[in-house]
Amino acid sequence: MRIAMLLFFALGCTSLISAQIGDRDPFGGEKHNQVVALTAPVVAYVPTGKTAIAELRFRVQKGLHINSHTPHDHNLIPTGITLAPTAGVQVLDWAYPQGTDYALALQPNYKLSVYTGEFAVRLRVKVTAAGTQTIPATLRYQACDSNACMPPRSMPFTIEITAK
Amino acid sequence: MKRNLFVIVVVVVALASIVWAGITNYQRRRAERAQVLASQPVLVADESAEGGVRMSSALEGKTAPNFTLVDLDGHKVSLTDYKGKAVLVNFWATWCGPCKVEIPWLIEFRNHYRAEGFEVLGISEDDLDKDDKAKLKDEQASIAKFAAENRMDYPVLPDVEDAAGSFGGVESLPESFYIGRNGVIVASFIGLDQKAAMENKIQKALVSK
Repeated sequence: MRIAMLLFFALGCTSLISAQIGDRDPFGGEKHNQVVALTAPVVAYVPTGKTAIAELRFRVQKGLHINSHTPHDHNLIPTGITLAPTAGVQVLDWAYPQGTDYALALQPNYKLSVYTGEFAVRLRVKVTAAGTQTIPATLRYQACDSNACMPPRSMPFTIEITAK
Repeated sequence: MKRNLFVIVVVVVALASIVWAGITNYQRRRAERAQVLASQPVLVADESAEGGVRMSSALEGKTAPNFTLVDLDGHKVSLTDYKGKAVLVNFWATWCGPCKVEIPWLIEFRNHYRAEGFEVLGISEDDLDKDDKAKLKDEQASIAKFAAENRMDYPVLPDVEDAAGSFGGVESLPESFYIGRNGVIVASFIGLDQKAAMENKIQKALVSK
């Protein structure tokens, strides 16, 4: 009986130690070292010579927002993605989501158009040559919370498109 | 007896392990946080709806660093020009929504307290291409356009000389430093402050000798 209790106690201690040592986020939540991050690698498969839609999904750090692609105030920096020109890949158009209206706590009348949480940008592409292409891309954004703003930033990432 | 001793030893070892794990975990998290903050400054998320205190500058209580910049009319402006006056040095940018909210308040405060010896200096942290004169001219013109649109009648100073650096880096905007008549920073605020709180800080700067 005592041995069983001892084993049970040891097991409990092991769990506690494991929980303590476990890989925790220094900011207390999910791992967010960046204000904006891709939620998954961008990999798209398209039929050669035909158009296809690739979806880029991003997540904005909790408590922050970034301007939408079409901010209400023309002085604010819109979120935008640029792709490096790549032979055989033609970007036909982009579809950015509509922003959500957001008012600052101290100025409810000043409405911003922002992205918070997760948002997705779709691009329609046509790939003329078979094979896999890795396209360097950049997300430019400017983030704020309810009271302060950070300078504009650029986040490089890649899009991998395989045409068959 | 031997068994009891064995149980006690096991319990002590287990508790010591938990304490050790806790300390190690705490130290690791501190190191990770320091590393992340050092490599990529992250604005600390403020989930409160209030315009509460975020933090103030470590420069409070110290003499404000001097700077010399050129205003939108081409005049050199130094902080030392305002010796004996209370000065609000406000770091802002055209792309900063909360900064825009403060501007009418700054204009109002300046008009109200000017006769008592108060001045506002708005240092713009918009990107400036110092090495490309044509680009720099365009960027300064954009700041001037914004200043005109928002009726900023106080000196607006594009930060060509990195005055922000001497004020601790200014990593998020707006950031305000309230400088007393003796040149000492009596208060500061990072982020959009409440209007009444701003006025209190201005009054504090005005009464400082």
